[in-house]
Amino acid sequence: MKTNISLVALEKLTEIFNKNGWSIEDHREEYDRFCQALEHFSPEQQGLIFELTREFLWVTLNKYESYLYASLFMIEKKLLVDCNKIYILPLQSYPEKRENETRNESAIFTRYLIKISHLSNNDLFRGKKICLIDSPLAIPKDINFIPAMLILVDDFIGSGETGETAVKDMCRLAGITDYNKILVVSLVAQEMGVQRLSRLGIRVFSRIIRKRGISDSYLNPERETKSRIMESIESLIKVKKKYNFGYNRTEALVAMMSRTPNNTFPVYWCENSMENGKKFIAPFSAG
Amino acid sequence: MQEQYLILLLQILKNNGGVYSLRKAGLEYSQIASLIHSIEKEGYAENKGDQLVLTGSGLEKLAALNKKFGRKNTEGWISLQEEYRVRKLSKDEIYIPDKRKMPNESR
Repeated sequence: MKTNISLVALEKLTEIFNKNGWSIEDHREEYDRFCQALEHFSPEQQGLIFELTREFLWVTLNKYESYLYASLFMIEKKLLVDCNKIYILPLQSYPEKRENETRNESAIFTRYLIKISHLSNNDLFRGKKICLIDSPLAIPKDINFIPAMLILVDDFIGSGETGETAVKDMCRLAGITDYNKILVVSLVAQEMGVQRLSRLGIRVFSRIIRKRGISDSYLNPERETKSRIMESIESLIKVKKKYNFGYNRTEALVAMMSRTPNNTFPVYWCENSMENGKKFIAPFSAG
Repeated sequence: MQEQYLILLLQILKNNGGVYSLRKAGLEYSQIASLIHSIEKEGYAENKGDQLVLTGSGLEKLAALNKKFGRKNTEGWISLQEEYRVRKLSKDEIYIPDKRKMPNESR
């Protein structure tokens, strides 16, 4: 039970929890897990985790509805003005064979939230028929020639890889030839993912767009120092190469409800056996 | 706040100790955080940059608690590690500690 945590470190973590609106009373489990994770690190490594955690965004279930509305209503009115039908489906890959499909539960959940909301009451959607579908095969064959739009929804966009695959799969299956027919809406998105999709001509709407936790947040030489410290943390907890600094080096600082995207720095979600054989307990659950 | 934990925390602060003893006494980190919050609120400790230090009123409280529990000399600044206490033996008994429960460094 040896621990490197000082009383001041505990106090600092408490202050960060309070600042982020995570009352310890309601988040005892996460607080204890956080401390158990910190036990393994040096004061320098703990210092970096504290700094990054100050910027950490944890979207709990009670915030989903307001984040969803905020993101949907970012869609410019002129994009929907000429259409009378809107197809909404989850942002996930749609392979040729349905049995190979990997369900993106969070995207399905986000689409469900739309189902139970009252979108038609809003100016943007008033008078338009909203069709919630779960497969591109449900899109009519003449989609390219009718005044309809498609909205793909998810709760988080990381590096944009899933988003790109989803859009390409959907276009292939539904025979869509024009990306202008597609809008992507996400509660939270990494800037990196938005840029990747924008480069393809896909429009993304998200109320919260996040930069990379280290690379976009510090200037050199501080950036190099912080990166070196993070490398030492990830080496200690034996993070797989493909997840270094988060999948595709996204450097996200985000957790959505009870799952953490793998684009987030692994120290927040990756539970591994360490060099010394001890198990590393991460503060949040993996996705 | 249980006074046994309060006295332990005040002693730790007086001796610049870590949270190890409180963890060993069975407290979760979140409970230790609440303890720290309470003693700061009571004015027994304050944060001086990178260190939590006992205030004059914290020292007085520690002295008062030591007096209340009859702790003198070393007991006034070091708490007994209750987890290592063993039952009183008769003079004919021999105590052999359980090797598996011994701390690593004692093996």
